[in-house]
Amino acid sequence: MLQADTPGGGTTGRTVKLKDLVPAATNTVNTTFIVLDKAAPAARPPHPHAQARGGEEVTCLALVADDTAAAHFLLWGGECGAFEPGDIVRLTGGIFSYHRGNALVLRAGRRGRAEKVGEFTMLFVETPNMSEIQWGRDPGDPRRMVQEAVVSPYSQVFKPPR
Amino acid sequence: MPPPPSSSPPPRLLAGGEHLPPPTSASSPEHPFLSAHLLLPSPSPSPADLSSPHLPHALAFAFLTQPSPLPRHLLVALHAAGARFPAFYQAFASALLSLPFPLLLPHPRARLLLAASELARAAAPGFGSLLASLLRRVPFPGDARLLELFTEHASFLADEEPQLLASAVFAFLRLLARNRLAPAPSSAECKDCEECKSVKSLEECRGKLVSFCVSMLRDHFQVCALIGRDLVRSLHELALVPEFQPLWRDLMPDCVGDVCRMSTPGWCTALAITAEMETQLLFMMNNVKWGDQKRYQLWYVRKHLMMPGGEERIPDIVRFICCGYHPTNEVMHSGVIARWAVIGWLLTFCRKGYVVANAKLALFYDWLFFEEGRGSIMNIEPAMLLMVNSVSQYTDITNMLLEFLFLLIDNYDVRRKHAIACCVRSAFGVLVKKRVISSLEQLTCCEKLSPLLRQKLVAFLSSSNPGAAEDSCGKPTAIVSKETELKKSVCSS
Repeated sequence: MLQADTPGGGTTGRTVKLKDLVPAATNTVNTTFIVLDKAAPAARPPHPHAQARGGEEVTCLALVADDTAAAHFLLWGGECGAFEPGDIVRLTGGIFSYHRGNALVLRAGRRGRAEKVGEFTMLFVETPNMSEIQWGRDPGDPRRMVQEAVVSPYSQVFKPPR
Repeated sequence: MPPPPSSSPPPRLLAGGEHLPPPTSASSPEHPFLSAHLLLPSPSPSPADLSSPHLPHALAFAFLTQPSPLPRHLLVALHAAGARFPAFYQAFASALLSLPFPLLLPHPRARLLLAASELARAAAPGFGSLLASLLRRVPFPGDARLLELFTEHASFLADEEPQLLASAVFAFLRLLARNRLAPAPSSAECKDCEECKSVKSLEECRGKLVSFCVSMLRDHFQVCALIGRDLVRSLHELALVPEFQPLWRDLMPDCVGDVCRMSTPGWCTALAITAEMETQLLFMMNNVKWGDQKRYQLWYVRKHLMMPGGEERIPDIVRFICCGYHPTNEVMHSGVIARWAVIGWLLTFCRKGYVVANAKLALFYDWLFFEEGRGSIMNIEPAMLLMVNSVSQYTDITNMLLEFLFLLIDNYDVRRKHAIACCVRSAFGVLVKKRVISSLEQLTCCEKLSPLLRQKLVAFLSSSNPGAAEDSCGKPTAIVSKETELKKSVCSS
């Protein structure tokens, strides 16, 4: 499995590389990446359950990568303005899962935390993109997800610069 | 009733934010300061505090954060520890240097300058590197304190730390030349503090800045000459500033020749760019492979060049790449992006005519004074490789550079035109001799290049005076032409 189970919750688990990400409904992803690109913020209609709190939830999709793989990272609320392309970000207690249907994204989630720890000086690759992989249940162990097919080697949302 | 002091959170050194590591996190640069502060909240000159291993960081924290006026016991503790432990001042200065300057809050930033001047006043070990690092940050709010400091200690520095004084002169000249005296934003977070309200920026004292430079050049010319030929390059850019004109009249005519023979040392070119600019350039040229550079270039542009005065930095960046960073053979052959390619990219980013001209001058500057055996081939290599490697796909760049080089030879210094032509010819020759390029035929025989420029280049390389009757390849031109003919016939057969 991805993370070692440690007492005190997922935020103290070991650090993984992006290529080791596997979709899971647990807040246990600790990783460091560089933000390559950021889409315009999108104001989504509030989630039905969030209605009571009022307001819209602003989100913003970003392309992030390390030296093993890339992925789509979903910035939420204040995160949208806090991170810019070129920023090196450390994610603790994040989650890699399907969001609102079929978009497979990495995000901090309610319990995780994303912090800017540097900028510029990190190498990265743009392929494979872990969000562009089709995953399925492992026939031998239905609790596990396995890679079934590569939908696209590169992000279909963010094109590599010419 | 106000809460007891122990319940209020400790003051901050750096601008915070929800998405930056908090000072309590080990990855925050504030962490060692906060930890030391918690162990030693108010350092005093007591024997126990003085011998504490936490004193450098704890004292730095207190020094930078205590409200105005600075408590006297901190100064006493600083100098008591410095007197007692020879390594203390250095440790204190290193602690201050470890803070990321762009994130410093206004009050700690003003106090950092105060700490620097306190160390300078005591001529304490470590003050030089602290001041040099601050010089790379100009312009910033409150930077006028630096000018005061250098003015106050000029004579002492001229004798004891000439390189530091030369650094100050160069940093200030570049600031004037870039005309980039950015307005100082008000210290919003520290409005009530008299100390912070009274800080001045160099922008407000341009006159003092100019007169400091002029008087250093007059009184300590030998020290200023440590800058090497970039001193002349900077003064040329300021030749129209009235205060510099008398210098050009009386002082410079006798010195230009000698100063221009001296290569500008790497430490000097690094002073004209910020530490972040340097780190990121070096990362590109040491780690980023060919073909992977696009995003880094975009980030670099956004971070450093796409802001008021950003484009004017390009000539200084070019000088840094030529003189301040000479990669090893191992790096050069590791598939990373080369210096000439970075410079080519920077040139295409220039929009303003005078910046393009200054950037090209920066690229060719060492060619104009090149002497075999004296000048470094690594200083002239980027221009040559940029011309040769652009010729097939980006012929415009090669044409533009070659044309500019001829303009420089004829016009840069009309009285020394002949000497400059000899130096440029020697530069071409050495680049071939040392196998930076296999032969100049890559230019002289390139059909894509402007025929006029090719003719001019062939004529220039073969034009010889008695005693120097050799072309750039070290062979008489006739032989070169014959070889060219031969090669052509071989290729066509």
